Order: sequence, then C-alpha cells, then structure tokens
Amino acid sequence: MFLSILKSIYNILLLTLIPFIGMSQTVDTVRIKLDWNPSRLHVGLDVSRLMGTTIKPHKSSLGGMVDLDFHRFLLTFEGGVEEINRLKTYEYTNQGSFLKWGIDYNLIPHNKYRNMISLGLRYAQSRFSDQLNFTEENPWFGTQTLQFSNQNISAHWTEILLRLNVQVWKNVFLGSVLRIEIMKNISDPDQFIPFDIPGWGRNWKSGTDEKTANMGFSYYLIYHFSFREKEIPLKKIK
Amino acid sequence: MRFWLFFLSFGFCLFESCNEVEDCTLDPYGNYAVATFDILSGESKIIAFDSIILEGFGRLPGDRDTLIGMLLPLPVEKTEAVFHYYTDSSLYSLAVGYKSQPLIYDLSCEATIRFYDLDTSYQSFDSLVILGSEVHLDYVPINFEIYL
Repeated sequence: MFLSILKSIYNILLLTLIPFIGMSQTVDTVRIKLDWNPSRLHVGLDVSRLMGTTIKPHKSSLGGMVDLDFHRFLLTFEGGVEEINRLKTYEYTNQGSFLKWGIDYNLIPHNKYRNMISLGLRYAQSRFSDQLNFTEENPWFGTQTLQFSNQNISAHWTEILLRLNVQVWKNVFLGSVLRIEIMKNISDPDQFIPFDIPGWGRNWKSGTDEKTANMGFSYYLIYHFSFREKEIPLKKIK
Repeated sequence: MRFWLFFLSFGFCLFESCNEVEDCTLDPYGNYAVATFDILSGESKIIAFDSIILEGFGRLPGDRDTLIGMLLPLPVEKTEAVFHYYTDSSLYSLAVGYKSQPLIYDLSCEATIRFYDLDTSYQSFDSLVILGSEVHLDYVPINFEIYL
C-alpha cells in the first residue's frame, strides 16, 4: 500500500516536472530581482465539505483555506470543523476540528490568468472527541449495553499535495486538491481507537487494521484579493 | 475546461470506488478465547469436568461435557478472567489476563470487541502453552493448549 503511494507520488512529480527539464539551457538571460513581497491573498471555501454535508446525513462539516504568495511560494493555512454521527447497529459520534499549514510551490507562475498548478507540503493537526455505544449479544453474559468514549485526543500527520487553481470569473477561482496523507500519529486514546479523524477521514481500513496512509480530494471556491500590482513574470525563451 | 471537468469527475469516481462492500460474516473477532486439552497420561483422550466456574459469573454452560476443547468467555469490563475446573478428584485454576478494545470492524457491520495481549497470571495444570495472544478466529483458532 505504502509502496504504491510512493510510486504514485513519484509519477505525479515526474509528469509535472518533465516540461521543465531543459529549461536551464537559456542562451541569453537577464537577471531579474526576485519579488518576495506578497501581492495576493486567496481565501477559499471547501465546497467538497459543503457538498458532503448536503449529501451525507451523518456528516456535517465546514472548511476553508487562506494562502499568501511569496515569489513562487504560497504560505497556506487550511482548517475546518467536522461532526459525524453514524447511527447503525451502533452509534458512533465524533466531533472536532483540524488545522493544516504548509508551503505550496507554483509550477506555472507565468500563466496570464494566474491559474496555478502547485506542489505542496502540509503539517496537519486534529483535535477531537468521540463516543461509541452499542449492544452486544453474548451467549454467556446476555445482552450488554456498552459505552466507550475518548475525550480531547489529538492526531497529527503530513500531507503531500498537488493543487490546481483555475480562474472561472474575474477574481473567482476553482481549486482542486489531490492530497496524500501519511505519517499519522494519534495521541493515546482513552478507551478505543477512533474510527474517524476530522481532517484525515476514516481511520480504519475496510478490515482489521488502521490506515497508515490516506488519499483525499478537496474542491475550493477561492476569491483572489490582490492588494498590490505584481507583474506576471515573462516566460523565459530558449 | 474539458480537462477541468475530467478532473472533477475523476475525483468523484475515485471517491466512490473506495467504498468497498464488506461481508460482515467474516468478522474475525470473538468474545472468547479457545483452549484445548491434552491428556499426558495417554489412558483417555477426553476429559470430563464436574463443573467449570468463571469467577464473578458462575458456572459455565456445557461444562459437564467430555471436552477436548473449551471456549473461555472474556468479560469486556474486566482485564482478567479466572476459571476453576472441578473434576471428581481435582481442582484446576486458570487466570487469564487480557486487554480489550472496541472497534467498528466495518461501517456496515456491527461494532465488536477485540481481545488481545492474552496471558496467564496463574494456572495449576501440568503445563500450559499460549499459542495465540489475540482472539482472532482467522489467524489464531486456538489460544491455549492445556496439558493435564
């Protein structure tokens, strides 16, 4: 599983970087002073979470993101709250929040519409409480009503992202994020291993083991606030 | 734009394809450990107990049968189960320590309890071998082998 994820990351990186191979073979270069001063602030709403809240009756969630540009880099924060109430033969409730922060690297800074393809890295942290209630039929002890809960546990993990921002109208962009979540660590749960982790997703594989890696998609509706003019750098010509 | 639509559709398809369907009858967790008995004397290959008592619960059903194996029920709310085996001439005791953890095996299945780190803090049989320290019906069909 982990090996196939590494292969996927390698393939994504390879496909993304192939167009840039050979770019260093410029004949005439003009040294331009790099502009590290921020010029744009992106504020986004996680549409996939809103859609999930609408479609899935057991889940309500809200998420957003903010990023600020520094040359080709973006300092990014994502956050949200999540509440899950799975009512089956058992009742599982989980509520908490998450925060992710990290850096994105814009691979197409020359795009005249300020569309963006970027690779990113995030450190993510989640804090939540959950509870599991169920009854068990036991041939020796009869029907038992069991209740377990975890209070204020935290989890942290790392994410590798491929992000695409496309202008849809003036300063409005649609952003999609493919994220690979790895290196998850949960602080000692009180009574049981959580089934869900806000911001991470399902903690259990369909089977008997905890997930060590996860993959996710997010879609953002982003508004682009520009607080100073910054020229789009010209593409180097060979 | 076409690429964009493709990418959006791809994401949804990927999400849906990850929703695996689980067969709940394959739940590998039980609420009991399994012990088998082995008679060292070789005169008889089966053993009959007058009664088997689980401390805090009482007499276990089916305890008068001739046994080559026995299910050992493990109470969830405790971390140790003490069994007393009475024959017409002897009393054997077995104290099994364990940890338990509830889990949702799969979204569509019932919640269950996983028992693990099984150990014996006391036993008065001739000898006892721990074959599997977790209750897992697929991987560990027998937890204890008891020699009399």
